[in-house]
Amino acid sequence: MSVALSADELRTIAEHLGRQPTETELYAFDAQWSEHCSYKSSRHFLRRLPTDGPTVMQGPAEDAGILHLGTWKGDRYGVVIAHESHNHPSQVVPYEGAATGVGGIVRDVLCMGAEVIGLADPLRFGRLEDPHCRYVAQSVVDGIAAYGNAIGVPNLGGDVYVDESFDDNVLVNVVALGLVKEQDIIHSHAPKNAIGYDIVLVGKATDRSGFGGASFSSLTLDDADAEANKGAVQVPDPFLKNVIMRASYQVFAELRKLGIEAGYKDLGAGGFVGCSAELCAAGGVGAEVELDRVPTSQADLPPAVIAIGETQERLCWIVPPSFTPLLLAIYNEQFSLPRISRSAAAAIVGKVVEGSRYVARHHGEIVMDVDLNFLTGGVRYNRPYSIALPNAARPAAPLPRFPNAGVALDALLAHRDVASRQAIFQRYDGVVRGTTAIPRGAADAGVICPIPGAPLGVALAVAGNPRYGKLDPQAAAEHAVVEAVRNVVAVGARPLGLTDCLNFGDPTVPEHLGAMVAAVDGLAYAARRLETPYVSGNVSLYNQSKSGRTVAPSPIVACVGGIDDIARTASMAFKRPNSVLYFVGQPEERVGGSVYADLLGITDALPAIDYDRVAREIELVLTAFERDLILAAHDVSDGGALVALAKMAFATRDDARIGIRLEPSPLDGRAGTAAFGEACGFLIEAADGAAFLTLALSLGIDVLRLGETTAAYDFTFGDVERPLDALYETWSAPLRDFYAPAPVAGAA
Amino acid sequence: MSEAVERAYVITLTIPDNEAFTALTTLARIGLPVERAVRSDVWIATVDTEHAATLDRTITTIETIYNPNKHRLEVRSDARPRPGEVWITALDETPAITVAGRTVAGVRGIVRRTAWRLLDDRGADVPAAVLERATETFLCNPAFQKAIL
Amino acid sequence: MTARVAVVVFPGTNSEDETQRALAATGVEAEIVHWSRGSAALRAFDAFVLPGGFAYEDRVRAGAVAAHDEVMDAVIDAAQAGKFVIGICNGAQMLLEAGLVPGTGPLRRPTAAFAPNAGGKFLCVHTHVRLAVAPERVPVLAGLAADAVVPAWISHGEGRLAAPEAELDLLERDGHVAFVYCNARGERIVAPNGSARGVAGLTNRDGNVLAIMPHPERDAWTFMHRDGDPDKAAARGNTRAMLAPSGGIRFFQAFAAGLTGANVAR
Repeated sequence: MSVALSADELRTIAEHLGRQPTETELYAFDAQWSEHCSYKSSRHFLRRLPTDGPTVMQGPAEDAGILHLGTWKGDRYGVVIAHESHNHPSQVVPYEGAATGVGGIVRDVLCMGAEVIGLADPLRFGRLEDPHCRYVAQSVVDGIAAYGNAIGVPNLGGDVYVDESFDDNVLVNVVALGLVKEQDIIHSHAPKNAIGYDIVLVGKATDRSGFGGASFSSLTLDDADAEANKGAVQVPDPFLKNVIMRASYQVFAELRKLGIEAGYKDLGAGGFVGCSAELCAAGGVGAEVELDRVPTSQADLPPAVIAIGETQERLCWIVPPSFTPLLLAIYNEQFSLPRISRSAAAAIVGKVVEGSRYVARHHGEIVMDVDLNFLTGGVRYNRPYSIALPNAARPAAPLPRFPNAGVALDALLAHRDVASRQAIFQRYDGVVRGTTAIPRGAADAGVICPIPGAPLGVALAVAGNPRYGKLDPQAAAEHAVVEAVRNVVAVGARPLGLTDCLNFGDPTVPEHLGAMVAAVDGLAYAARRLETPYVSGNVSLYNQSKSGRTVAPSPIVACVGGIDDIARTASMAFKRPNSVLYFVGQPEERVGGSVYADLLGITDALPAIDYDRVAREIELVLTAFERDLILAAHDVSDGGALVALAKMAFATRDDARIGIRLEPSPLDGRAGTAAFGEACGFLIEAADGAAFLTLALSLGIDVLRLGETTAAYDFTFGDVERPLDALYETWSAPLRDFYAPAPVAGAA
Repeated sequence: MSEAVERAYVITLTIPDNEAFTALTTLARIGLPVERAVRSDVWIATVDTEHAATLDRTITTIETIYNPNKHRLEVRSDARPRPGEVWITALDETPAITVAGRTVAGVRGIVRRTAWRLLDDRGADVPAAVLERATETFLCNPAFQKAIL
Repeated sequence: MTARVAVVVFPGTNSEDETQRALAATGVEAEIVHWSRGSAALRAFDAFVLPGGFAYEDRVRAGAVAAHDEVMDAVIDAAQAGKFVIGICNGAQMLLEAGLVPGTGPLRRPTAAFAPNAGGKFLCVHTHVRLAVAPERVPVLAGLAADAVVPAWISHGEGRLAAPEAELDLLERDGHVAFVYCNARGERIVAPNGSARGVAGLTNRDGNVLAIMPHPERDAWTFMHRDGDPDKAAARGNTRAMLAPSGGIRFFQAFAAGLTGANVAR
């Protein structure tokens, strides 16, 4: 096992300590100072993101952020959100890597004192024609399903894009939501007056798995390393997590009853020492821990492995000694951790002390004695970067075209970024907990009604388009924010806040770091314009193989929306025939980055964003929801307006079977490219066409009447009349056999 | 048509196996004198003779089947349980021609079974009658599974 | 006195809260009981519901370890004494492994199984189930109307009924097939999980124990209904109606009605 610390960093450590570090200290610094833990290349750029606003209960300082949802029976409720990547592990051991990604994000939410109420997973796969890429994709989906289903948290959203830039580096982002009353929030730091408090480790017995994970995440991958790195990947145990979650809910209830303040934090990269050190550093106290008291399931583990190893399913409490017996009884007896997983337990492993030193002993011998602020403060780099300006020139006219709009529609529906994802998301339990109002795939955002009896709803959506990222990282980031926000607005939810995950290449290469900086600027600008703050985020760098292939710049955004009245939300499915269809937005002639451009090989700049107009459109849609004027809504994204309309009809296929008839307009596909431009607005099925139009005009927004819904299950516009069942087949076929082997290359 | 051979890849966890741990608890509750349970995945392939060596190698590169950091692999040239082992499989077991989503040259069919070994307090295989009883009462549901002893 | 129902939680269970809520909404007293309280704590209850999840992580086989658990002793004794027992999803798998359903063989020697789905993968899709026997055949759901259709979610990896053909014939002949998969109009459909004879739920000889694979509790309030459901369409803009129990709640109401009847008779 080698360390990833640079020679300079090693010298700094030795100078600070006045001696060479012990083995345990060396690995502790290696983990804490890794890119993964310290954000040493990115932190000063992240300060550019707006993180304040009236909805913010807890900004990005802790394991997860918290947004104000609303008040019910006198209690202010917060939605906890965390967003992370598990890209490297998922490339090397896809099933376990993706599963432990879910496990980690769930702990981040849990440790805020919250019930875990939802998941989402933005995924970026390599070309599915390639057998290995397909195997990775299948295994990632299996891993997410196995973990999320077993712990009993509904999967509410996510997206899947396919691109050759992900052939060697899959992206697996995970988002988790929690629910907590404001007065019950538990913080990731030692509470006030914590001197003498117990440090209690809870969960799976420590073993050798996952030693070296933090620095592993910050290395580039190639196949030879992949083999050796398998040991750095953690072993998921969703069964144990299921029980730990339920036991923790019981602990939360007891703490509330007794009015005790505690600290709680998840063990992630950096293991037990990383977690307990951060808890104490954030609380301004020191710690003395006995590594030999950490429950282990393998004999003779060296102290460095006990201290830094990343065995999964562990969390750390800081509690007053008077509470410790009850805490241990809940985990060890009521929920019987030791009986259900070998050597799993809650155990006292140390004490909070005055000062700022972290002292760890192993069988009486001091193996670590460092200043906490030095250990957890990390290092900072101001690396050089260069931002490539996108090519804004319009392509030479005339653009290539499909013979007619019907042919275009077929090609668009079958495109790898448009085709139905049902074969994937059917593998995830979307309805466990009995709170789901709009399941994944039925709308732009998933919606739950998480407080029994209360009308408050929570919407969750993600966005981040790699076709855009390759053209212009800054504009791609802006579009990701706008689309994520529109996605929650399309179910009638007020955007409460955002999270971001920055997935980029090697930060020591100025162009790659420049792409990340440009994306941060885009994220910051769009969020400011839409007055929606970030409360959590993550950075994943070095997403490239040694062959030099780097992922498409991928700023990925999640948006949480709040719904005041669950009776005033809607899925994208048409509700009845003969209702009026409106387009709210500006028809977009520019097709840069679109699926249409991809199919025809057109190079063009990304569409520009008129933020004032976007904000007014959002106001219109939300007001129309309040007044019960919307039956169905859908935002226009991959594939453009015709594709979006077809998907609204597909959602009725098994019951109401409602079709579409369009009147002549720029969006019916006969003239120009407006029907295929993306990122341009909402499609609305109005409950009362005249009233919706009146409302729009009163708000000063011109809306475009597109046509009507029909009782016949056809899509009719101009000369084109297509049975929706046939279009559905075109859309469903490409990924229906996601689990089949990749087609044999070269076969006839 | 070339000759085919059988291969059995017996893959056993080297890290703690919670499934075996739980099975042992249940066997004790049933009242069987078992001190240790060892569970293995068994992948049984029929493969063209000239491709057998390639398959031996390929199996070790598929992480969902075999990860050297947590598994032990035993390659056998026949597909029969050893004395002391019981293999459990579905009654409607159907061989696949792909391994973890990949086609491997020469593979005519591959199935996955679960192997159990039960050991007594001296680390020896329990008597055959005990293994049979464990199979009947717990390890195999005959409504959809069969046991191969 | 209202009936007391235990919602029995094993390590790995994940649907106890929504199951408890659905029961409570029908007026019965429903209490979540953890495994660590042991079978003694369960003996005071009038009826039992085994909720969904992954008890013991489906180790060895779905439901197999739980079926041998000490806690299950109390459930088996209660079932044999004629008390009502319902298993949903993982709970249904346990009842088959425990031999309580269909109950055509000795205890803990299953004669049927909910085996891995056709396709071998976990499946989460909306469906409906139809009562396939006369209501009198299943006292545990005495309150259901003949041919009642109940909406529910399939959320399982092992829900395909499997048994030898002769056993399947016997199950159909003797009225063990309590529920079959159907559409919203009650017309039979091919089971999405490949279940033999389209079976979604089975009962025992006396009709006091029922095993059902799809989850009615996950579609038991109006806001949970799928697009196109008439109750949901009618509740648009009406908060009270949207938050009211409907649809899948009929399954639990029928159970509560059966319990009340049984209590009166006792």
